[in-house]
Amino acid sequence: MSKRHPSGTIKKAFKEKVVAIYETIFRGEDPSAGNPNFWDEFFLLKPKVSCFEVELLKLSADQLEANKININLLFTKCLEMLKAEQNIKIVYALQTMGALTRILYQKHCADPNFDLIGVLVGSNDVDRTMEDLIKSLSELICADFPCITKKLVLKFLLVIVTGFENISSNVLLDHFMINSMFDPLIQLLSLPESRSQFGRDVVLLNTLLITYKKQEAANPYLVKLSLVDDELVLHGYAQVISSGLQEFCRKYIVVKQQEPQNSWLSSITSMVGNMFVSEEAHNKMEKLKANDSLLLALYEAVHSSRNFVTVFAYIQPHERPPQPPSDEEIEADHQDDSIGAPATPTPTVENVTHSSSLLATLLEYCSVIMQDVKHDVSLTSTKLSFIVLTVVTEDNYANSLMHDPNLVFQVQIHKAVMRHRKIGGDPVVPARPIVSALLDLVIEFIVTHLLKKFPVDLYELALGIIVRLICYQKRCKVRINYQWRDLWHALFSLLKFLQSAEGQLLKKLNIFPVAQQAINIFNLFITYGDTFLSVESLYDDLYYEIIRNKSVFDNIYSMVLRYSSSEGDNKEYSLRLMTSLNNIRSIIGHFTPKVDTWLATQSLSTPTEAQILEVVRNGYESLTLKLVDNLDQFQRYTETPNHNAFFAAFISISPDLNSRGELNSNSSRNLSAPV
Amino acid sequence: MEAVAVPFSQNTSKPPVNDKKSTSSGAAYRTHQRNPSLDFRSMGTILPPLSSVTQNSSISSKHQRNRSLDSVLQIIPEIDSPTQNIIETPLKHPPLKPSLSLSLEQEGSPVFRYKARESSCGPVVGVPTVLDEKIILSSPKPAIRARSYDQTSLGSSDSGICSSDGEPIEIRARLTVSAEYLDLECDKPRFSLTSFEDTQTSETESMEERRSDLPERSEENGGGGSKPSSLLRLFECTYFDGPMAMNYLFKSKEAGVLSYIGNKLFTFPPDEMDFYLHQIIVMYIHMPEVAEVIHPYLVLRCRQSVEFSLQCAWLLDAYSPDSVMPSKKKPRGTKLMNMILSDEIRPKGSVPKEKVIKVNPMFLNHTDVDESGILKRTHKRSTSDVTGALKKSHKRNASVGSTKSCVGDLSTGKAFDNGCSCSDSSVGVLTELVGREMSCKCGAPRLLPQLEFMKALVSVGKRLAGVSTKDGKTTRLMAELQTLNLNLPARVWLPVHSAVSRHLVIRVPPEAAVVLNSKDKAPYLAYFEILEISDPSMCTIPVKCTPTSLRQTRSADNLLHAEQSVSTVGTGAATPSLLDESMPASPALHRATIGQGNSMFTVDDCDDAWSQEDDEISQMYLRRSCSQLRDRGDTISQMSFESIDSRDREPTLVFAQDIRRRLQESIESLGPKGFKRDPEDPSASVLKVNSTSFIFVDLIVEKTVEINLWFKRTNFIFASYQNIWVFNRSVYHA
Repeated sequence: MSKRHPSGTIKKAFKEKVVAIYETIFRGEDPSAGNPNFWDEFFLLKPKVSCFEVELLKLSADQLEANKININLLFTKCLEMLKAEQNIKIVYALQTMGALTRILYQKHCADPNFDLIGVLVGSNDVDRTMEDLIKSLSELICADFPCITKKLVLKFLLVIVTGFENISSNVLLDHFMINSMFDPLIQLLSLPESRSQFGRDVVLLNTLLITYKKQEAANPYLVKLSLVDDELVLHGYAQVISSGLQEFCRKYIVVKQQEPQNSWLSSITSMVGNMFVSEEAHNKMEKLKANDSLLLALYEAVHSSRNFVTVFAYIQPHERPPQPPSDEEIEADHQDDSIGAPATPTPTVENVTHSSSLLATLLEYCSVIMQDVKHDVSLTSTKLSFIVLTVVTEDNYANSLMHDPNLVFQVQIHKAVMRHRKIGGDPVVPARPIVSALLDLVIEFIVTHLLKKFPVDLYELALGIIVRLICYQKRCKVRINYQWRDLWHALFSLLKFLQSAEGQLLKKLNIFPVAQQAINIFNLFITYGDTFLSVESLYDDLYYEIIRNKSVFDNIYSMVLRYSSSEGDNKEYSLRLMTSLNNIRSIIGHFTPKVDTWLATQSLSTPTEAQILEVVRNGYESLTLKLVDNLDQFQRYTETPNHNAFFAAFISISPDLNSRGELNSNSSRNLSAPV
Repeated sequence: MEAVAVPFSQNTSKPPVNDKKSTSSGAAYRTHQRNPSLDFRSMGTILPPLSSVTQNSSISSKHQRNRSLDSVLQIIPEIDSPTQNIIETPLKHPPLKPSLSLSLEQEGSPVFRYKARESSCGPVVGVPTVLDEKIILSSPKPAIRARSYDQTSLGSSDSGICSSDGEPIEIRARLTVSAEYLDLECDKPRFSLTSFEDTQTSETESMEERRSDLPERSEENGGGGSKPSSLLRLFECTYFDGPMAMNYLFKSKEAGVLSYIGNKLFTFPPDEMDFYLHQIIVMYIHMPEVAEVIHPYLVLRCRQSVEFSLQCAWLLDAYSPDSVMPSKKKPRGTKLMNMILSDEIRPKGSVPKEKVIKVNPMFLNHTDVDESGILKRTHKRSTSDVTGALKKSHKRNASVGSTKSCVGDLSTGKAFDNGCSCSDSSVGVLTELVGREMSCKCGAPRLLPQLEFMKALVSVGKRLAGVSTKDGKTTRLMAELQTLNLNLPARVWLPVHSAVSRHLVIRVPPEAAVVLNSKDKAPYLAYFEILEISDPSMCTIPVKCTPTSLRQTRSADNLLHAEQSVSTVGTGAATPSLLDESMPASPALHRATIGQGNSMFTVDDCDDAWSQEDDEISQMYLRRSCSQLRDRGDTISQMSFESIDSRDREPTLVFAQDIRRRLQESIESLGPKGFKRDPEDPSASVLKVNSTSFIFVDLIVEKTVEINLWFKRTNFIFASYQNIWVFNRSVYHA
């Protein structure tokens, strides 16, 4: 027990009572000796989290093991206090418990042999204690408690969940699988007030819990998520994700506007200064981190939930993003609570200025993240969002939403500044069906990622998205009003690039499947164009473009011939590609002489487009095409065999999910917030 | 004059039918004989006298007829004490008041009435019954007449006063009992009438009065009649219907006539009266004497039907003159409106709100044993039933930490939920499982959901007016409707056409809604997906049906994937297969619950959705069998290895020309439909396209256009076809 000195005459550091008690506990002495009300009083003292952590960190693993009983006791008492009637005790108990858990996790990370559970919870009756803990926490979330309490519960849960580098080795989480917290957590999303305050945390927690051993066993959180059919909850879930992504896009626009509009100068400086990661890029990276978890959450929802697609087209009112309230806010909050006033005002519908749907937001977000071609991290994010889009385009309902001519959105597809393109700021896009924006996005990706470090998996996904869209249109006879020429041009440049960089690329990866996909898209247009083109002249245009770019196909064909004649790994692929080229080659073979003779008769050397189109229009007869089997089929997306590795890697490398330090410091700051 | 002829000429087709009927039912035969005779007269030449009667009556012979009629109406005092004074006194001051109060108290609730009568029904004969009869009916004759016509006529409902069709079945049973009883009693009133007649003739009264009375009696006995008596006979005959009643209500200044018609209103079918609601309300507001007469009728109807209450309230609101002057005394119309809106007029027997809170826990508590204890137990067992379980799973959980009512707050998803817990109660679940309908007993505010719904719809329009750009408006409209959808299905309906089809609004498809091109008055047009039901206030609210649940085949997909991955990779794909097991709710079940109340769920392209997915499933099976046949376990994309095969096979040949031709044909066939969407006028394309599509959509368009017109006037004046008719009618009245 510290003595009280007059404030002027402090010699040694002033020691608070709480700190003294911490010391007692960690010395292994029984703090409650001689005072039956000790614990009640202890939890009325404001915890000093930083001191607590310092004291705890001082102890070595062995010392902690030795001091097990007291730590267990502290934990148990905290747990008991969660059922206390006074909110202040609950809050203090949560803070203490959070700090304790966090430090013990740190110890465990430093020394994997450290018996975390034994020290924290005790070796006997772990199951019961954890069940008790989870039950108490669920009650705290569900019942009518002040925001600060709920916030602390969520932070505490995050401390537990993010305790380990690899979430699947987090032993404590087993108990969270047995005693599911899904329902209490997810219910927080249904009401606007609680959603705006806790939405991010809830979604993050849920996503993390879903990823726990999901490959190995049935994950109850995943199962429950897939079954959620409460529209309000789904809506809330979507809203959290969408507002997070929207916030990111808004920040991006702000950053972009601050950028000086110096076109060639900036391109030079960027060339010169690319060896340094610019401040801005770094800034952007920081923001990227904050959104990977949302993207993953979106993926889980889209992939597993049967009902999530319904909320895709929900127009999200542009709410204030659910930022974690700053410390001051929390303090203010708490003061409010202690007075008994209700929490923050809810965003009213009147404030809505701009609104967008989750899908539209996702597309815009994609267009921003894929601009960064230099960092693997952003490529990973892009891949994840492409996977999401793949899943989305496989769903009939989502497709019908995207193709609905009445469901129009203004989706801004941001385009990176490139040397070969004019920079004129982003033009104001008209509102149009989402499918147009999606096609634009994929085309933009195709033309901007023809890199030396060719991201072949991304291209496969991107082309797969287009195939899925066209298949849907073909199947449902949907004729969208779109400039397909843009797509053809993008595919031409892709094929051109593949053919020219073939030598380098083939050393590392197999480019044939990508080329095949591109050719197959052409084949879809050629053989099924009648089912989904909106104007008949588009079909003529297609032939015109094919004839015009015949050199591309000729080169590809000669490349394929080369590989198919020589034995090797690529033989089979190239043979397949050759078959796909059949129709295009017969078109070229059919029309080239016609055009030539026509030119000869007219004695023209430079015909206009209209003239050639006229030749094409009159020259269809006697051209036979081969119907390629299963052209309109695609392998449906499955996570299990193909993408497991990606997701495992994603979870561990993803800066957001992996940022324990940041998160913990965050949470500790919140935990140590003056209450 | 021609105007009056219209209803009659319509009625001329009726007599043969009625004749047949009356001959078939012997008991009522005698009373009916008079009708044809009157009808013959009204058919052709005698029409002018009829209308001249009304004219005369309003000008000169007001007193006479009034007296005579009144005396006929007020048999009771006469029988009770056959002194003439009693007849005299009601004549001095308008005789309406007493009879009105009587009917208010006793006729107001048919249930009570019939209970009272039933109790006396045991000993059918004897003095008590007669007394009973006297007490109950202030105007026994017309009532009995009505009842006896009832056996034959198609139009009038089965009781003199109880005109509802929404009565519980048990009461109906009682009704028939009392009807028989009335038939038995049929002679008695007649007897009393004749006796009354005798007393009248014997007594020395003012000559006019007697003159007016005597012929009437004699006419009733089959003789020729003079003017006033023919009016009474007109009133009493079968062909006196709603339109005529309205006419007389409007024209007549006679208190007696009015009060007679006021009582007579109860006998007309409610639908027929609903048609004249506008007129009724206008008269209620502007004609105090009519108002007094029809007040009981309105109150009764309001008690019976939520819909009627709302229509009344809205019309009262719309037609009431704006009270610029702050007068202390509220006008009658406003008073009634406030009464309706504050939910004072509700079915008798329903518990006021305060008690509910006490009752609710009792319902939840299964241990208490009362008379419904058996029911509760059965229910408990039946929760294992699929339907019950399904419903449970769809029930929205109580919101976290908020106990306040969320009515009106669209973001809560319960904006149109009045908190009625009847269907939650065990009895409610039971009745639902059995398939019966039940009315709300818990006393939750009846009108609130519908009022809030209307408020929400109107406020969407108001908010749209604030958005500047067309695109912005469109997006905003969709956002608003989506928010609205969160709160549906609920016990709400579109107030237009509700007479034609009773329904609940299930969903407002936002993608089908468009902003109209007009300025800021009528900003949008919306479609409503509705569920047709027998009675909106009784049925259970259908389970929410998400759009994908109709189309969803993901579980099937997963199954296939799971099998595929098991067969190909060899490792058990735990996640998807487990998902399948835990996804018991199949679309079929959803549909079953939706279709429960012999109803139609109006998803426009249901069949398409199914066929599409079926197509896909079959394709998946095809592929799967394909892959199994070839024993290809690798991850090569299906497409690519199929195309390898196409090398070996004889390829299918198509002609480029054909493709081009088909493209052209199909685009040409779309021709008129290819109405380009114009961002400046988003409604144009929708209206254009929909006008060519099938009839159901047309119907809805019609409806929505009306609603939309209707939004023009926030005062809720209904611009349905009713109004056009009404307009014609008012011309005819003028």
